[in-house]
Amino acid sequence: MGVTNKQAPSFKYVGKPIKRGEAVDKVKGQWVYGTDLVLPGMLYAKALRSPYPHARIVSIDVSRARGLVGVRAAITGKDVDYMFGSAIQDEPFIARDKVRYAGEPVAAVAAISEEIAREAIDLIDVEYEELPGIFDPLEAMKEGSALVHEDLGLYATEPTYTTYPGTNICNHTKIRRGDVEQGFREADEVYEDVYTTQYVQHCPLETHVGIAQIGSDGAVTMWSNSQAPYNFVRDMGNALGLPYNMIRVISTGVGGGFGSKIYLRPEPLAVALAKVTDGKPVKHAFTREEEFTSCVLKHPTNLTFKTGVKRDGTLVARKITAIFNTGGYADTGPLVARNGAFSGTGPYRLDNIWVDSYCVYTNNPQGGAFRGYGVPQLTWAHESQMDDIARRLGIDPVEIRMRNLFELGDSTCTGEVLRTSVGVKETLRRAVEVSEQAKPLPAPDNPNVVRGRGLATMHKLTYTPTTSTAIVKMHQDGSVNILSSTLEMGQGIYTALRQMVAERLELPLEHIRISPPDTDYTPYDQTTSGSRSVFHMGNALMLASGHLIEQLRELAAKLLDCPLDETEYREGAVWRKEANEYLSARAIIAGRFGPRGSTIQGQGTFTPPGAQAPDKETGQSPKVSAFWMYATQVADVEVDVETGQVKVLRVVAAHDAGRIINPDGAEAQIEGGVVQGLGATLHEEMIVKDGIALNPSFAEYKIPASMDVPEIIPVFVETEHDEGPYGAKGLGEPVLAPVSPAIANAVLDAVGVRISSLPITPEKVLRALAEKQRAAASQEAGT
Amino acid sequence: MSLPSFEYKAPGTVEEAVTLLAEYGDDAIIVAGGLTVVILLRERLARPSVLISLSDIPELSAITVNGNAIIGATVTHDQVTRSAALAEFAPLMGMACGRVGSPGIRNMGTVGGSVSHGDGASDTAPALLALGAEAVIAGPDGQRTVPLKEFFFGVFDTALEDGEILTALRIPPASPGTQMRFKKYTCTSAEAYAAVTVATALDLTPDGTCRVARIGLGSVAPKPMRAVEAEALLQGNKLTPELIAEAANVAAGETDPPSDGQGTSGYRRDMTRVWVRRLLEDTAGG
Amino acid sequence: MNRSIAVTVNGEALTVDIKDNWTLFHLIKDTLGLVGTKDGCRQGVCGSCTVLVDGMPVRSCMALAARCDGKVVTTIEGLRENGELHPLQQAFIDAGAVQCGFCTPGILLTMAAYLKEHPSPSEDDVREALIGNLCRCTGYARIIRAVMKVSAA
Repeated sequence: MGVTNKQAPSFKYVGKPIKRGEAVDKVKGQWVYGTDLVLPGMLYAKALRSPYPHARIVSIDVSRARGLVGVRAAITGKDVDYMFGSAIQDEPFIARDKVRYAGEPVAAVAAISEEIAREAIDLIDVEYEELPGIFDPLEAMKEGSALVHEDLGLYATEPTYTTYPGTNICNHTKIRRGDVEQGFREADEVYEDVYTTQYVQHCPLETHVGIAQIGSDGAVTMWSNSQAPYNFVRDMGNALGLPYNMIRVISTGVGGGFGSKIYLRPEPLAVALAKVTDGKPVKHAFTREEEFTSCVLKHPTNLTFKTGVKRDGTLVARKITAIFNTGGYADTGPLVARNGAFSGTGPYRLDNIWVDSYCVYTNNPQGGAFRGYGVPQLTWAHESQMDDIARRLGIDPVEIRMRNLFELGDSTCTGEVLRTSVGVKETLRRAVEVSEQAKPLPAPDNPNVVRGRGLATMHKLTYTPTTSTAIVKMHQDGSVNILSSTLEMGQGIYTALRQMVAERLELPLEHIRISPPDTDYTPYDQTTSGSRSVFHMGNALMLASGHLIEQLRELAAKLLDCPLDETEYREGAVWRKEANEYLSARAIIAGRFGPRGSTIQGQGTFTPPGAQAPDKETGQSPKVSAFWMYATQVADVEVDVETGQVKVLRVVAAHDAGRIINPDGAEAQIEGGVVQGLGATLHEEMIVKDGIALNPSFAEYKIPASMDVPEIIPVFVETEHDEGPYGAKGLGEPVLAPVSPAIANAVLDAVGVRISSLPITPEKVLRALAEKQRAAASQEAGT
Repeated sequence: MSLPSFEYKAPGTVEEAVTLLAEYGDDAIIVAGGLTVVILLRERLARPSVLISLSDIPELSAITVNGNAIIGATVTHDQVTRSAALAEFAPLMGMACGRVGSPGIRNMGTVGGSVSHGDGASDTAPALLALGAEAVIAGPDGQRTVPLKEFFFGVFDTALEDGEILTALRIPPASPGTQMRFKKYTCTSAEAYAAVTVATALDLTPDGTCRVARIGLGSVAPKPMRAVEAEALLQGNKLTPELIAEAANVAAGETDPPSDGQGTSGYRRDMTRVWVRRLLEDTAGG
Repeated sequence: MNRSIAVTVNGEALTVDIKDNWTLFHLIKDTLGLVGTKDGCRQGVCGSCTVLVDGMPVRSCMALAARCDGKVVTTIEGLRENGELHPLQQAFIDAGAVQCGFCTPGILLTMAAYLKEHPSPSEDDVREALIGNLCRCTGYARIIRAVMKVSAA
């Protein structure tokens, strides 16, 4: 069980390991996912995709495809005049004159079966003129580089971002605080290091699925395994020029998301086809290969960290240049670059900061949201450098962090004073303590290994402000439906939300039900992402529950004929305090509406108070995040010095997520997230050469399997947030960020080599060991 | 998910299968477990009009140990790992087949399929090579055998001629005192393709002199191979640490590994050296 | 080419018309409408499509329906015993071993078959037996815990 450091107050449901209700359907195979959904008259879509990363479409002819028996529609970009994109509206539904990444759709068919759709694709004739590709983001940033998007200046762009039309830079986030050059002058030592990260794919077991249908009134219905139905309403409405109430998103079960399902992906093509299939729904399901080539990936990054320190390890100044390779279209790259920047200096006190975070177009596959939104990449850099600095100064890695870590009252790099819930030092203390007290590791069975231990600390913000609204609907028998557009994708949110509502309404958990969203009925939730759901939707539900209680009290007061302030709500009933009288909810509703009753709706809207958009020049704002999450992870590894292979033996993961609503679910998040992080650390890499993905399949791109998994010990440091529901914050993303640098630091501890690029392959370790030996030998020889 | 259209035929004897193959020629593909063929079809890399399945031919799914061991072409990797007779006769087979993919893959994939496909990354081929196995082939002109070390020509290119079907692998008995070792080394997940697979079968005298050495290597050349120069170095000599190190070096030099997701060619050459050495050391010590 | 096969699915003896180029997955999902079997990769790597054929775990996306003539097929819908959840299904719920749930049917069937043959495995045995079923959410810890719990019972 996870180890907590606080005595839990006596809640009935909050803080308890409640089992997940939807698990029953899932073990029976009855939970319906997007891939399972079949609708009457449904057609199957298939895209023809460009094999070239950068090319002009000279000619394209779909007439042979259209003529195949069973094909109901065959279209190209010429038939579809829409552009979409959440941050920057830069992406055509189907490529028109030009393709900007290998895998971009150039044509699409809808047919009565998947088999026929697949055959039809082969009947489409395309002539391409290959264009020189722009693949290196550092080259792409240089003046005079060829452009991926000549029209960058013409695209509708969210004002949060700074684009540079006439270049390949589609966002530049800046942080300017104090005087970084002065800081470097005052420092005893200044170190500059470069760290890099690779393409990683989310690999949800269920691929992306969008089903679209156009009604006779032009309304668009989409069934999707989306993580953010209202994002789809907005982005599709903007793309089609339709009012948002004409876009309906019905959520299916979601077989994993990890950030890949927050924005439109298969849906635009499905909608384009649905417009010409006479009202028949069109299903566009990505194959696993398309999931790799034509979806979104974790941005590869190039991170330069220049840090000035005092000899005792105190950080004095830090300058960061972060380059995010976003590929042919922006998707949510600008936000990833921004979020990465705002957490980029690490959870450390620093007065002198200069950060430039760039999101750069290239002719590569697309970068998008990936569990952590840029923070895993920046954490890789700041925690690797922390140990590099510690080593150079001869200071212990724990000590150097303790000297610099945030405490209550410190300011973040964006100028926010941390006034509540700063548990990062405690996470470091507890992680180290638990790893030292854990049962000793079994002796190695391989004589060629050396063992080491490493750690990493991190913090993460959540994009702010965002809004969640919710309705708590009580039936006349007192049972309750939660109407919320938050998605259950395995993280356990449905259960956590039910627990909080049951707690607040003092009702049995079995009387609280929640269902998948449908934007015609469930009110606005911005997204299920950014670790925001417990905090934002939880708060919205607390407000909605409060509103419901208020209405019950008002009705009861009338029925009991007493002043409102003499009533009190307890456990589904309203009491008249002095008289020891009460009315149950059922009696209240019957009393007001008669025997056929009614429902009563409590409604709540929550946006974090006090949020202010950061200054575009300095990145400073009194509040840039609703809450900050913290973590420390300690990794024990063994390195085979002849093969370079790194085996992780144990990870202790100490997380400050505020109050834990469901410890079972929270532990499960850590267990899964650490393993997902492990894959990205040791072997996951989508290899892209000249814009082409070389290993877009599960056979070649390996995610961790059962035998790759170490012992994982979750630890919770529950520092309550004074604005969080029951003091809760968030957990979903921080779980995987620290593991990469913790392992790299453990390798450093074991064999004295720094691997500064992910993944840490055996070959890189072996090469570094050989290099170290060569350097030592030549030093000995006095050369 | 869909496969292109084809006709499925499941003959009951080898002769029928050969006749069908002669009839349809290039329009037909032989299928056993289906793991390779279904992928070829799904990717539209092949569009045969006929699939000739070997699953209904009883003799091909049998393991017989009688002087030699005969493993029928449609015997699954799982069946090999369960065979007590093979475990005693040639433990190297169980070691190798037990490391193919995952249990689910082993249920379906066949030894014959793995060999006849000519995949340089086959994990069972190095073991069969180290055991001195022969390929038993049926064709329009009758039956013939080819020593496995002459069976692999190059990338997915084998000694099977048009119209021929691999029907069995025949393994001769190992001399008493033969020690077998196997290692599939993967750099990514445990279930991934190998960076290098090493299978060794060494017949040692009580004082540690090597009478016969066979080293099979997989994933480090366009085809599964024997490290014949390293074997020659070991044969007739005492297994000292120096000789072992030299043999491992020589074996690495005989490889021609690809560079791909499993590692660069240089790294895989190095790993060949490491793992040949480790297996030989373990043999000498054990 | 069409043919008729006799196949028992979840205890029900059926005669089904199939096409030669159908996979077992297509037969189960598209023809018989059994939704619980999942499509994760179409390469036989992830194991989500696993069903039992004559008690043995088979990747239905890689198996030809034509080969299933005369066989007994069990999908996740057939795992229940006398209308009750199979002990593994209950154990998964109790252990919190289900997150997104997409890999769950394939893993339940694989482990049910495994435990039938190996009623008292070690944790390492279970870990090895699971190697062909990929899960991206759970990190496998609770899945193994649930299997060990059932095996101890």
